Amino acid sequence: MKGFVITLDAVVAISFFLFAMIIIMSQVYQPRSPGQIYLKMLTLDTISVLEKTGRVDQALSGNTSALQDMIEATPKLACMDIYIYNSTGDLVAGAMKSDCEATTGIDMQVVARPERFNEGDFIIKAESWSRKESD
Amino acid sequence: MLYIVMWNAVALRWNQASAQTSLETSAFIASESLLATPGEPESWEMLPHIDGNVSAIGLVNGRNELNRMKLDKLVAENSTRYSAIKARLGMQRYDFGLRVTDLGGNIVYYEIGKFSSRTLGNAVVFDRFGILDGNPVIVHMEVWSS
Repeated sequence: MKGFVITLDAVVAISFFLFAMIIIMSQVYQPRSPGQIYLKMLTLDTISVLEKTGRVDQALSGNTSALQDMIEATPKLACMDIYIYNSTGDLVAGAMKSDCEATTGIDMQVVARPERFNEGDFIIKAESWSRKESD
Repeated sequence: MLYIVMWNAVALRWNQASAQTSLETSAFIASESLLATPGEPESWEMLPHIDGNVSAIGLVNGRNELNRMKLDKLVAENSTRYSAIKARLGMQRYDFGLRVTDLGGNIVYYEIGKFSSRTLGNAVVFDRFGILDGNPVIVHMEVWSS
């Protein structure tokens, strides 16, 4: 009886160990591209470049292609949208990368920055997320 | 025997993940140094060579604003001091290539470092934005281990 209990105990222990190993081995590692850090950097770059090259001002003047050209140049695996709001929170200009579906969630990176144009105050908000297979 | 094989597979996978994470971290820190700082000293491009007097390399005046003099200096030093450049970017263990192009990727303004001619498992390839002469450009970067 004692031998049986010891054997059963060993079998259970080995089963747990094998189960754990199988779970670990089934985890296929795939490099995250673009990772969340990269998305954050890309979003900061985009908003900084848009602002410094005067493209935000152009968008506020009605030329939204100034925004669209930039976000279309982001890597294929990244999705991005950019919206500009006035001081009362109304949307005055915006662009979203084509072939991307709007999304929400914790994987989204958001950067916002104030902008002054023609005596008016505006907020530029850029959001980015990784493209899903279905996008 | 089964345990050894399984454990070896797990260890290999763990090492692969760890190596990739380390590579990505180095690559992103290097790109941030290049695109968000002027370097240390700030006027490192005025020095004769990239040597012990240069502790960090940056390519911008302000965030994303590429400085042509810094880019020209890096191109000039690329062939003879590639290892020193890598060391100043914190990428001694890896190789890297950097290309500055227009938004469409059609016009190449600068090319620095080495580009891998083959697809490697342990590599990271990414694009960032910069400003060259007032126009937006793509800064394409590849970091890989040989």
